[in-house]
Amino acid sequence: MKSITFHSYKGGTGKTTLAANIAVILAQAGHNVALLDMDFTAPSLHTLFGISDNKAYLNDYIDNKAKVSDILINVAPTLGLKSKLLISFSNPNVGVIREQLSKDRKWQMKALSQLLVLKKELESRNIDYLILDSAPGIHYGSVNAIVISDFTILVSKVDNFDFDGIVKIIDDLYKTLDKKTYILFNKVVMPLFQEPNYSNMMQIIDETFKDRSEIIGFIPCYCTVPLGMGSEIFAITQPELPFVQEVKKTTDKIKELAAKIEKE
Amino acid sequence: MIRAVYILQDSGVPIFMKNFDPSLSDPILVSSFITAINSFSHETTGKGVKSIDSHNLILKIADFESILVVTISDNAEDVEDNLLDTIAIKFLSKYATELDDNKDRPKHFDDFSKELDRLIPIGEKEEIINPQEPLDAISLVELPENLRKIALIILEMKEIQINQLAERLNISKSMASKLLKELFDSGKIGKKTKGRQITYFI
Repeated sequence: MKSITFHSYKGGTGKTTLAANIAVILAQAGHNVALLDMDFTAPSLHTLFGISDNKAYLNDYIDNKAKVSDILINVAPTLGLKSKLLISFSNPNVGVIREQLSKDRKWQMKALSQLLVLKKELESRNIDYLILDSAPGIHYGSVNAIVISDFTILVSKVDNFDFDGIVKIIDDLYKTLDKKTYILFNKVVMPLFQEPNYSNMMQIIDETFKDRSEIIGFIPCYCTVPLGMGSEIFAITQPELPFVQEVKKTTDKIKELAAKIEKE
Repeated sequence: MIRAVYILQDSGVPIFMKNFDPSLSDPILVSSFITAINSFSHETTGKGVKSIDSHNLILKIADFESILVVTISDNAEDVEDNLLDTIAIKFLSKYATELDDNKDRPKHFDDFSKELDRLIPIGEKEEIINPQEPLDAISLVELPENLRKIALIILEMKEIQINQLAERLNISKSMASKLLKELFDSGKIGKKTKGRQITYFI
């Protein structure tokens, strides 16, 4: 099983949309996939998949209040997917989120321990890809996700806020943890693909990231994506969209990287 | 497994305390609780309390008029029927005079520890040293790479013995022991020792 965390420095980079669409594309291609919502303080995967009647959440498993089978929902039959897509959602209840913010280091250690056990359990259930949609920035939830995954995709917009933040988390966190990290630029505005903007952008990116991380793609900003209002998985509803074609290319690249890392 | 032995004066003051498990509550608090519940039992039933089942721990109590002998263990069968009597007889025969002389100014009979070690075989006792800080993700960042790998294995297994780590990583037992000791010395994992068996835990 290959495990991949989708992380970002700031929110709003499109990390969750990409993680969900990539998970679906992998399941459409015949891979068994598990997708975990690791953003405990701002859960959103349940909205994207339109699930509201959960038996139990990932939070419950971490608290030893639910079994693995209670927290995983196989959405494959409903979405008409070829292979399994097991999703574990984070509890969106405001009271639970508030409680989450006050958790101490001992609880965070227990969370990490439980996630490692869950990873092993998913492996025994023949899951090929484990995708973790983490919280942005440096929080326990995101660091736990990074620790348990084989590599991380840092989703970023092309702007200086994200550039500075990404440099900081690569230098201070990823390098210390010795984790492989790849950068995926998302929501890139169309004029940036035209000269001389393109050359300028590439020069800045090269200077900033060449010794830090590999860039795995540039996904243009498509106005059709926000039209989905955060409750549409385009890989299912509109697979012909250029956005989906770009995400498919990214998925192929991720599969290549996962295979390469597994060999290493 | 026996986790503690207390001897209390009839007034409830502890005069001997041996904790094999440092994670147990303050012995003074436990002594006060036992004395209170024993007095209550005497007043209501005319007899003292013989045992208390509390949070997976069994407290066995024997009342010998001038002293109360208390054992704390995981299971009732960890404490043989005659153990409390034997402890009381040994204690009273050794310190009878001193107990009478110091009735108003209770002292601690710490040297009874050696006597107790003879009564309770080493294999039944467990020494526990808790971690100084949780092994969370931030702790992992602070660890050198070789120990981080070990830490992740312990996090997954919750507790591990030297031979288990050696087997998992296909390394020698001495190397596994060295790595676990290093991680223990960093204060991020705890250690339980029972007889010759060492278990490291988070």
